[in-house]
Parts: sequence; C-alpha cells; structure tokens
Amino acid sequence: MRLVALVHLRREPSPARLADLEAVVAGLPDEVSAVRRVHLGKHLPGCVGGGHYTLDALVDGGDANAVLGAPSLRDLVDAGDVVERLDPVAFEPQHVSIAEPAIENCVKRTLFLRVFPETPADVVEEFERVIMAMPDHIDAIRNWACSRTDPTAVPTSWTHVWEQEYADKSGLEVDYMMHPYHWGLVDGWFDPECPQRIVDLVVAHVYCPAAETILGWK
Amino acid sequence: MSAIYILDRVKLRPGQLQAYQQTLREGYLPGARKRGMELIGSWTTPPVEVAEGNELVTLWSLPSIESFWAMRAGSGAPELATWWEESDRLVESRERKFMTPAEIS
Repeated sequence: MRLVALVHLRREPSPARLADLEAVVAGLPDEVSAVRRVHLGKHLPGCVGGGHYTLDALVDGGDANAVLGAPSLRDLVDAGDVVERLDPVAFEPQHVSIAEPAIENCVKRTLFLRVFPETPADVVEEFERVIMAMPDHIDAIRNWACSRTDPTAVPTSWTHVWEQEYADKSGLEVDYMMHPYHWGLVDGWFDPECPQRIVDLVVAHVYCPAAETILGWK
Repeated sequence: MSAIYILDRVKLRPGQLQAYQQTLREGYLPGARKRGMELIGSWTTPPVEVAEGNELVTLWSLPSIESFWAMRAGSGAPELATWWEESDRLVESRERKFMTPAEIS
C-alpha cells in the first residue's frame, strides 16, 4: 500500500526542528518493519493548498497507519512546534505507468482532489479516463499514477490522487500546464463554469524534487 | 501561442431568450471582461424566438494560454457561482467548449 501525506508546517519552525522532521522520516524504514520505502520532498515554489512537504511511503501489507503511528513521527507531530498537521491518503496502486524507471533528479507532482460524492459512477470513470490520457498527449509526463484513495485505510475527504514525474520543473509548469489537452479537455472537469465539472474547487497541487522515481517503487 | 476561443451553447427554456440575454449582458459580461474575456459575438438560433425555446451561442476569446489561466483564477468567485446558479434556472442545458483556430484552406 502507498501512503502520501502532505505535511503542513507551523509558521517558521526552526532549522533544527526541520532537520528533526527529515531525520524522523528518513528513519521510518528502520523504525517500522512494514515501511519499505520513504521519501520526504520539500515543495517547490508554485504549489497550492498542500503545505510544505510531500511524504511518500510504500508499506508492506495494508496498514498505512504503520507510518502515521510510528512513535518518532507521532512524537514529532504531537510536540506541535514543527508540524501543524498531516494530510494523508492511502491506497493500493491502481493505474501506474513507469515509462522511465531510471529517471534521476526529477520533479514529482501530486494532486489531491475531491470528486463530488453525488457524481454518477460512469461519469467518474470517464473523468479518470480523460485524466489518464494526458500522458498520451504530453510527453513530458514520464511516469504517472492515478489512484482512488482508500478512506477505510486512512480517513480522508480526498477521493483521488493524480501523480506524475517529470525530468524537470518545466515539464510541469510549461508542457503540462500549457498543453491544449490540459486546458481544452481536462480543465473543464475542474472549472466551476463548465457544466461537466465534478471536482471540488479546493485541491492540493504540490511538487517537489526527487532523486529517483517514487512512482516506480517496488 | 495563438488565441483561445470559448464557445458557449446554451439551450434556453421556452420564453427565456430575452431574460437570459439581459442577465448575460448585465450580470456576466462586465466580470468576464475584467477577467480578460473578449466577447466576439452572440447569436441565437433559430433566428426568431420560438415557442420550443431558442439556443444562444456566445463566442469569447482570450489572447493566450497565460490569459486563459488568469481568467480561470477568477472562475471560483462566489458571485460568479451565484450568477451561474441563477441563470441556469433559465436554461435547459448548456455546454462550454474550448477551441483554437483551425486551418481549412
């Protein structure tokens, strides 16, 4: 199971406590045997609604709370002087495409979104189909994953996570954002002025550097 | 990057053509212009008002993709949501399409 948690920091935490956060996360695989891989990425300028870091974890089995309940992380959050809150989702990998498993020094982008609960199932599936066709049109998307969250594993109001990995930031900021498939076909699902819109206005759009693929973790 | 065009096709309830044109002119157009949308034109079909209800077709333009996202940054405004909610009472169905120029000759 994968866990993705957006880390919202307290205002101006000390550098020492930020170092503590990074050390705690880095130590999770040693602390919790079920945690296979972990990554903490500091958000780049331009992110919206998702805090300051993305914490990615790959967990053996279905217990995502193995990460969230790790004593060192719990203590750090409970101390209240560095982390304001975690915004986590968990899910089994569903739709994943890793075209470039050896990608290095890339940018990993994460979008949390909420589809309105009254949306018919076939409309949600069509939305997912349109989203997942983006890599067919936008070559800069090297690796991607589209997932429905599992709120029974970790409670959340987010319904979907749409993740991509790019060779560099311009892949996201230029190729992805400026592509006509994006603004011409995908954006209407998010646009309150479009009748086909099914996605809540509030999203978390974040991206961070990653030394290697996260979506391709095994 | 060439201009982006937005095509609105609105199927109106019977007898609502004038009311919709009025609210579009007074309630939507000023804000749309502030968000960078230029009104290219608006048309009704059939070309006379009919008992079954008319369709109003409106074409907007934006000069660039950057202006598109600037326009979108304002599309979540509460007053705009109120306008759509109220004007949709006059509407049977509608669609919004996004377009770029196409060469046909």
